[in-house]
Amino acid sequence: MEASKTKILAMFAALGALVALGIYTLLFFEVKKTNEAVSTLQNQLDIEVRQDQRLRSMKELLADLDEELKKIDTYFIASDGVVNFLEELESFGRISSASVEVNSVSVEDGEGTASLPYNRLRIEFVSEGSWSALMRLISLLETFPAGITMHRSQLERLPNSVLWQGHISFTVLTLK
Amino acid sequence: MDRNAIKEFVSHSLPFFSTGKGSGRLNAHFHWKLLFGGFLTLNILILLLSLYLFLQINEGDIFLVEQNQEIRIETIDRNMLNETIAFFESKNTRFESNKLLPLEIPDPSR
Repeated sequence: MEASKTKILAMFAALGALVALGIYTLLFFEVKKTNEAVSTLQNQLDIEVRQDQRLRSMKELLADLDEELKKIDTYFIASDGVVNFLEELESFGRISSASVEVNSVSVEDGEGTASLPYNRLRIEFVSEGSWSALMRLISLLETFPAGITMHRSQLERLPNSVLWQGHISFTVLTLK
Repeated sequence: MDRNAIKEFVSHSLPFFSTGKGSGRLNAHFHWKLLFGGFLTLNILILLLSLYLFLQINEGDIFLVEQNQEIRIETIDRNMLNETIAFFESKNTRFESNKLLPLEIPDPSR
């Protein structure tokens, strides 16, 4: 009888220990899960705070660089300034005494330009005039304060004439 | 396997549960001490682990999720901006002087 009672007590103790272990494990994982959720939230909060700080400093920087940014904008062709630029190109012809006949104007679709704040406008034109007139025209175009890249500049002397003909193509950066 | 055979098996393989014959009963005191010591050690370990967990959670140093999201905000390089402006300004100066002074490049066909 005594031995049987002891055994029952031992069984209950072991069972109780097992149940306690189970509850402990369950609570451990619950605490772990909650703590990880808190940590994730804390990380998100940290990211938000840092992002906010950076945006604030970016705002301050933009305000600080306002003058410079306005200045640099003047060196880009405005999105509605293409016609003015073409008129400017024709005025280069008048200055250099060479004719300017624009053949094509197109927007270049380069890779990765979608995310950029500017477009590349490709302009092709034919010009006729004396050698020095064409040289002056090209020089004016090359030194014009805008994002101009010359692509083609083919000069040929016209038959039985002192005049030259130039096939010129270039790209200029225009704001979107 | 009948009931007596099971009893015999348990008595031989697990002396602590023996029904009274042999060394199991004689060592009951020792077994209780063993059990007590074992559970005491386990409880101390669990207590220490719990204390460690509590302190770590309290400090916020445990079960942390790694932050792998980077914040990327494009910023403006002031030096590069100034260099670009200086480049365009020098281009403008050359443009203005080109407008005033024609180039003297001899015609290669003559």
